[in-house]
Amino acid sequence: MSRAKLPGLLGALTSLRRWPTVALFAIAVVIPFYADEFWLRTGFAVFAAVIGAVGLNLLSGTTGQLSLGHAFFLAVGAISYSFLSGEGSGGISGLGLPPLLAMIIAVAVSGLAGLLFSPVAARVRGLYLAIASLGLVVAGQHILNTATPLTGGFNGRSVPDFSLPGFSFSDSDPDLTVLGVPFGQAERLWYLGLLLAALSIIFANNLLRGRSGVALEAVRDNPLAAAVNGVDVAAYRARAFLLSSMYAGLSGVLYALSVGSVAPESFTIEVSVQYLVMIVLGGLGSMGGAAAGAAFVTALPLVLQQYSDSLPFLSAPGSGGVSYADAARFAYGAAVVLIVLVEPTGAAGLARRARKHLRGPASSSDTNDRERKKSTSRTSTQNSAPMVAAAVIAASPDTIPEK
Amino acid sequence: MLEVADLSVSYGGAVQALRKVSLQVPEHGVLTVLGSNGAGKSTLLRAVSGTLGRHGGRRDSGTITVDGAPIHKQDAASIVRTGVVQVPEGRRVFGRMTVEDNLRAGAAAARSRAAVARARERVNELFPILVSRSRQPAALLSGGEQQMLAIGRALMSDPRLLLLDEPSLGLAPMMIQRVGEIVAEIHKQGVCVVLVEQNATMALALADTAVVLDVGQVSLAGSAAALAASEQVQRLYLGHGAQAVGPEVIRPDSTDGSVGDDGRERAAGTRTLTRWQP
Repeated sequence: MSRAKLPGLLGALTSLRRWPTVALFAIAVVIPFYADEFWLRTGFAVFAAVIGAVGLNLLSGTTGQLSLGHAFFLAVGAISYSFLSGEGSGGISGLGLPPLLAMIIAVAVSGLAGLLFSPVAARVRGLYLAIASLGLVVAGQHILNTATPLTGGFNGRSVPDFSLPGFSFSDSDPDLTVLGVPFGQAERLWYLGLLLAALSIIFANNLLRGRSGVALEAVRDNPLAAAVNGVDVAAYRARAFLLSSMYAGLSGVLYALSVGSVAPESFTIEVSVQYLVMIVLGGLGSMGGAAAGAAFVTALPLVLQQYSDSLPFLSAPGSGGVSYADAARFAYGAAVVLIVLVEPTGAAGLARRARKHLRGPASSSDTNDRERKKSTSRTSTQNSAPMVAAAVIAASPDTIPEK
Repeated sequence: MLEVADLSVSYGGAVQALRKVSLQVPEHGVLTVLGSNGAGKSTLLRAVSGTLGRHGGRRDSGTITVDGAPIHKQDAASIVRTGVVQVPEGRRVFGRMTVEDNLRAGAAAARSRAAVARARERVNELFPILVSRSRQPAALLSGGEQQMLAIGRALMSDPRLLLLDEPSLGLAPMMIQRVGEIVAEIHKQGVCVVLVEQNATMALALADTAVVLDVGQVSLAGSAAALAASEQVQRLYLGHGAQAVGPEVIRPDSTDGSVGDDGRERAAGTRTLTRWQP
């Protein structure tokens, strides 16, 4: 328990008790010195998705509330940032605020949107919330297409570069070279994304270890028992929803920065489904798993696109064969089915198995206990993972293309 | 301590589960509520703990007060904060969470860290088994251990009144006795108890006063000893005179044979039974 009292980042890193996490972070820090721009841009998109997936996992994995409205809150974050920091021109308006301020307000606006919806989120549970939140995405699409001064309408609007006072996240201003490597926009954004994603995961993990985390899990496991033990079920559900929508808002801002423009088609129901896929693949309730799932789902189409010329089974989009986008959908559709069948706790469960193997059989009683804990959490997640998977399939007939 | 007056409850606007039920739990008292399945015992506890809504039930009329303050309009969480905590039927531990986290969840309404530490100490003393299992998920505990955990979890918010819904359900006779001892110990430490039970032997041994619910109404009330001695209670709940049982009492839930011997000894109580006047 003394570990929990270590302050700041150091404490958070050591309390994860996982040197792989620390190693992964270290690798992420040095990657910009070796990787080319494509990988850095892909990485930034992944970091954006990681934040969104961690937020959804707090809601669906930890609190047991299934939401299909995530795309809506991503849109609120992305559009708010673009509107607040952008300059108005040609029928599209903007406030021209400093980007950092715009980012903070955008997260707050997403939180506010979540707060407005939270009375609904607090009263319905599980699949019913999924259906209720679906309405948000439908309404959101309509607003995105019609509120042209705000959203840019059907064609969308461009997203101003991010900057801090005196430091722009673009190729110059100031020119920056670190250890002989010129730091352009891609390198700078990589570090911004890495920092925000790491902070998001650490915050979520700290929340889960604390009293609120226990209360949220209690609400998921048995709302009635939680209520008779003094957990205000409705209030905790509402808070989980609020927090998740703020995460989605931040994720939306980073997504907008990574793409450079936002259009309605970026926030369809399919995006909500992709986020559910991320957390199912990663393992419900595991923040590291959510990050892994986000990386897989986000990076796969980008990577396949990049190397589509050298992959013989892929054909150019529109030419009748399997395009990179189709292939990515096949791949993650198959991954969902496999995961639900073989390891319902997702990547997090696979990692646990791997650790168990590395550690060897029963090194201490403490290990035994922990393994036992894991084995039950596995059987119990078996109940919810298929539910999410069913929702995924039901909500998105085009996830697996009919070819 | 607890006073229920003229309480009527219905489910789905159609099924009348309680009709003008009135009862009191005196300061430092233990009240046992007997009754067959569907008599309204659990409904009574749900009404007190504010969880009727989660079962599709509604309070139609009547009041519930704790030390004179009405609680029937409060939500479940704030009722816990007034010191009234329910151990729900069927235990309902948080299966995926560790024993430790179950207890932490029980302290959700606690006022201070010191109060949590005190409550924790008491739970550790009452249930040493939970200390040795603290890192295990609750789903892996045995039925008896889960019942201990459910009671321990309820004690974490330092209740003044504990509502126990069939703590003997599905437990072996020896474990039932152990649960009875624990309830007695908790009562000795100054906690009022409302005990809903089908196991009348154990329940009447623990209680000062008892009521019998019959199809949503209080049919008998009095001291526990008097009820234990009454012919009706003996016949229906203590397994006596099985050969004299009329058709109206052949119910699937009547007490199992294992507790009958014990009940016979208890029947020596004095007969000061009062017919309940609503």
